[in-house]
Amino acid sequence: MKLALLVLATCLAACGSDERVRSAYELRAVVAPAIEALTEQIDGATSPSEPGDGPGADEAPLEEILGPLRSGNPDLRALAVEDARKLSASTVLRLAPILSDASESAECRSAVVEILAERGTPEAFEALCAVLETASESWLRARCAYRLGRAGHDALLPRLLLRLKYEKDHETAFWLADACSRFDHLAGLGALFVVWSESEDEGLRVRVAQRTNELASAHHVAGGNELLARWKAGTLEAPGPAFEPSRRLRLEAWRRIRDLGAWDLRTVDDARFVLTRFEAWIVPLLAETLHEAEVHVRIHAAQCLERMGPRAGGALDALVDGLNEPRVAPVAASALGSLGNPSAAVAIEQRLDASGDLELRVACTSALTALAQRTSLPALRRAFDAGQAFDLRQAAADGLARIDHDRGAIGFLVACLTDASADASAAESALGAWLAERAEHEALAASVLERWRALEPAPGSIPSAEELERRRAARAAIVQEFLRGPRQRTGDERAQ
Amino acid sequence: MSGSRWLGGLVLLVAAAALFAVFRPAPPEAIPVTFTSSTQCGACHAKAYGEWEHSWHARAWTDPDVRALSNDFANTDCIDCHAPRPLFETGVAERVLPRSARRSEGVDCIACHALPGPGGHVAGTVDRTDVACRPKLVAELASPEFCAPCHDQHQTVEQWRATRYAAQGIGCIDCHMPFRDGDPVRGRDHTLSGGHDIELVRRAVVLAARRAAGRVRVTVENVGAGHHFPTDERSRAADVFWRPLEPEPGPWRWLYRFRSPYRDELGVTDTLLPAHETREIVLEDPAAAGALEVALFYKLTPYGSDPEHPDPEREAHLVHRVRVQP
Repeated sequence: MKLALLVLATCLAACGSDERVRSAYELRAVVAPAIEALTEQIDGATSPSEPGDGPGADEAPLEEILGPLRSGNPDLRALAVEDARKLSASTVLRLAPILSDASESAECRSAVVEILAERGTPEAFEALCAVLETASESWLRARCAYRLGRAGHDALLPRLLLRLKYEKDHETAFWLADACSRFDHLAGLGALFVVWSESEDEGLRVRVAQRTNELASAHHVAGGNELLARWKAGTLEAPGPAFEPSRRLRLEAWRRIRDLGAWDLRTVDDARFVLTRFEAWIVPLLAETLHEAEVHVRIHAAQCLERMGPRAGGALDALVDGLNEPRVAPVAASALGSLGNPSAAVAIEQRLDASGDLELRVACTSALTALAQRTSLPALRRAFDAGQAFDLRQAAADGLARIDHDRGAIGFLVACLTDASADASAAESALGAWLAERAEHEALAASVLERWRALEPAPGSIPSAEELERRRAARAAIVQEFLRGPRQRTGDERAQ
Repeated sequence: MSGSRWLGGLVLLVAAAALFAVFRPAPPEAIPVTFTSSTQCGACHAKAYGEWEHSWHARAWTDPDVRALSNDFANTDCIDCHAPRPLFETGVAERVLPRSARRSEGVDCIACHALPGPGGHVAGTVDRTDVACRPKLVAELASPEFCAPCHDQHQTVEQWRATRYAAQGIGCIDCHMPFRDGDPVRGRDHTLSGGHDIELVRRAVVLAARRAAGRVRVTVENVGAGHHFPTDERSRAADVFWRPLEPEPGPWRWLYRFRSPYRDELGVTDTLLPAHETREIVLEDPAAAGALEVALFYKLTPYGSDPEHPDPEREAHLVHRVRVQP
């Protein structure tokens, strides 16, 4: 009898509160209806002859412009580009194979890029995007990026943004970043910084600096560093009217959101990359997706918001609501920590206290650490003292150390550095952050931090497991030494 | 004592045993456990835990190479497979999802064995309720589809499906989790050996080289891998090198690479060697006229420190080497 009661109680405890919450949280088809509606709107708005199918039956045959196009004479090529304007869209598209034909001259292929970009049909853009994504010649990719950026067709943004993930050629990366910025998307700023710091092409570096300064000036900030920092913080004001995505771009965005449900991680990774690099207009779409019935889609939508960080500030309420959906809740908690809005702390504390799910409790604890509110200290203390699991204690210790410089928590983190069952890497990161924070106010901490940082491996080198172990033991000793002496003084200071 | 008495006694004994088996009291049910760490498993399953503890699955989160390549997991895309939620929770053959807790344990006992729902059950090879983990016999635990959520992201399980092994019912665990000492009673090895085990790699392929019509014909045959050699896009590569032996062994010269491109990597052709297949590589070089050595090297990461002057002996693992006489 006792056993039966125990099992019953366990079952109720395991599924009780979360089950009740699940029934209150609305799950529905979100993505498919959105795609369907936008597709209908776009189809309805496009007449059969659009876009500009060109002259028609009396056009000159394609072969007549091929000769001049292949000519070594630039004037003849210019004439061919001129003549191509009189061709129908479908005829122009027959030039596309030239783009991937390495036996054709660079001048001829460049001219075809111009012709296709100028024609501006979806099929022509598709041909240029395909070259941008697959051509082995970097100059050709750069040319396509340049032209696509000037096409004025915002539905190309997802392809341009995704290419930023994979592009290794500096010139192409520059034009991709430039292209995105022409649609008021600053996700390429990071790439501009990389090109500026890595490129050996002085001319390119000058252009990067010029473009970065132009963008900074347009956004009324002092320079590139501030521009990037404020973009990441979501505090950048648009230079003009807020970017309004076209229906085609919104359709593309919903398609990427649909991709979040793919089995193939590559598709999901790419979708996450693109979605998180859109500007704030994507946030309401992702927030709505938190109610998508397909579990992977809604979890990955929450991940996207987490990765956007403060730029996803508009999703605050939706994410707080997401704390009530068991599958989304841990990611929603992490996302709220990443958003950095302290007003979420109370809701997170409540979930931390109410839930028995270790996954959610750890995520809530880490989120509270990220939000760094002193009002969260009691909740973090309870998690630290709960003893439910080692990594919950560690996550709580991180928060207590950073927010309150709690001596016990710091000692626990130091022990984690050399404890095989702990997340030594997380402890190292937490202690490093704690030391850095202290170093801003205390000279001794600054010298300790210097010793701590001196143990960093050389850039680009990968330490062996044994080297890692030695480094962490040395760092544990450094902090222990610091705690033994000056901490006492710090404790006195705090008492004062 | 007569034979009939013996027989009667035996019948009585069997009957008593049968009655005991039917009417014996059920063992007391164990109190369900909430699993918060794989270290809990080690208390009873010391052997399996000890094997896993030193496996690459256990190091999935902590290995310095992984930390460096993932920028300390700032590349959050890597977390899904390096710290996955319990597979039976997200679904066998379904998309894997990342977890927030126990990340340092990597691909741990809980990730593979924990069953969802109340009761604290784990997937295993027996049904029992009288032990803390309350195992349930779950056949899917041994199926290749169970490995698929992570390993088929690199098409490894898909490659296996096209092999004769799949038709014969030889799956992932037959090579990567064999019975200890070949004895089913001793259970399966939880070391989960793979590409890091060079002996396993050596059993996967055969290298041969011979002279024919003035040229050296090198062949590599996939005789033992139940998937392409090597499998796992991006990370793995195998290279054939050769060097003249006279007047003395010279530096290794690169001849051929088995590798598939990583995602959008441009200009790299997929040259992985499918199971059961043989690839012939022809060496045509005036310097190869004399005695020479051909070797197959395996690399866990495809890139070398100096692409122009590869040093396979330092940066790769020797799989096989053969000599070719003039």
